[in-house]
Amino acid sequence: MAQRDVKNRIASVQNIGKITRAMEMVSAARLRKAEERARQLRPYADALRKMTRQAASAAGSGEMQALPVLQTHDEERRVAILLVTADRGLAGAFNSQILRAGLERADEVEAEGREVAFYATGRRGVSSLQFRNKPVIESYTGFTDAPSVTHASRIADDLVGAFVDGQIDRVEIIYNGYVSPLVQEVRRETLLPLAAASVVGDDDAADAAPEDGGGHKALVEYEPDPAEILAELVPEFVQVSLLRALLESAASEHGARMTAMRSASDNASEVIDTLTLAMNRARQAEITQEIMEVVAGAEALN
Amino acid sequence: MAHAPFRAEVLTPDGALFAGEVEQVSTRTVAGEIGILARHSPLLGRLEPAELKLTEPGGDVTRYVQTGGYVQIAADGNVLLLAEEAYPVDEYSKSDAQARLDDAEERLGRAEAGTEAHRIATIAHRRAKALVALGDRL
Repeated sequence: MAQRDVKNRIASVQNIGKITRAMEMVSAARLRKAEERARQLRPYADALRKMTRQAASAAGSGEMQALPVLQTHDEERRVAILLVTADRGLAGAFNSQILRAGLERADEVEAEGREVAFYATGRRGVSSLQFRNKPVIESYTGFTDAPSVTHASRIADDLVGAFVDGQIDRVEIIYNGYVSPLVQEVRRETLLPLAAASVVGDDDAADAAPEDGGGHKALVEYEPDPAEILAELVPEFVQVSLLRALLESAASEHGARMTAMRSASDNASEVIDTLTLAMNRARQAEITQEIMEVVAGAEALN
Repeated sequence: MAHAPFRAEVLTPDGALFAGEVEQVSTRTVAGEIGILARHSPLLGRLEPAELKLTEPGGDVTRYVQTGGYVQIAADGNVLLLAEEAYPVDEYSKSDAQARLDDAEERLGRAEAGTEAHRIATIAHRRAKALVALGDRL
């Protein structure tokens, strides 16, 4: 390769390196934000759980058990699988590992003679499913790097509605759980039917710490009455679980992109080193060539 | 006249919006407008889209918009507001609220009458409408 060509290639690799480094830094900043938001959700979820416990004890145990979102359907004919992916790629295995886990799970479900209904968040997941001719019942896109409660509540409304109406008999969610900036793990959780334990927490904690006002049950006012407020509170947990998964997935997405961009930047420096070496070699070869020619010319004169 | 202070907390899924001493909390539950002073009797209520006013000791009033949620008054009179979304009143956007209402309308139109999906869409629609109407009263 001539010196000039190598020089051009070095310049273009340097530019790529600059871009990937910038993307790495942007992802790192967004990661911190997403991580913080996932953490902020916890006190809200805990408070919601306390209120639900209070409403449940006021409404009586029967009311809670009778709520449709807690019911296991007698016959599970149709299983909804919600794949949580990203709108953008360039994040290593982030999207593909969710898709793979989703398709594997779908095969399992179908092997058991049940039907699969795909739901997906993120353009990557939606387009991959469509590419494989898997119909997507509902898709949600445009927010995966910064999901809000509005998005979660919209998805929750669709899923709870379809579940209670019997169009789907179980809802599973597959997402990238956030372990650390460098580590994401594929998690599969059952969203519906809701487990009563996830709503009111484990019984020991409930018994050990009676809620404020719980001891004066008769004195507490309820607007609307306890059974109605309980029926509104319990489905909120679907929304909260969803939001938590979306936020963890967003943090994981930024983490995965940060890692992917870091190794891209490292690769770029490695390529630059190799190319610089090649350029030096080419330059040296040219110099050697010229010296040889000068020496040969001088010898010819002698 | 100054009222006795009590503790109030406003929690959203995005974190604590307010935590501190207040003299009065005014908001709206499904049963209507409610003004909470110190030593209010215990309550658990469902919040409607409305203005949320916190009067701090000294008379400073902080105004928020809440889109829904729950309010709990504990036996000791402390107040906890769990708001699905809440933000300072000057961040309210009529066009956002209208976009939500359009979305809710479209979803309601798609849902089949008598189903749970329809019931959920009806509630979302009623709330979106209340949020739009709130814009004129701020």
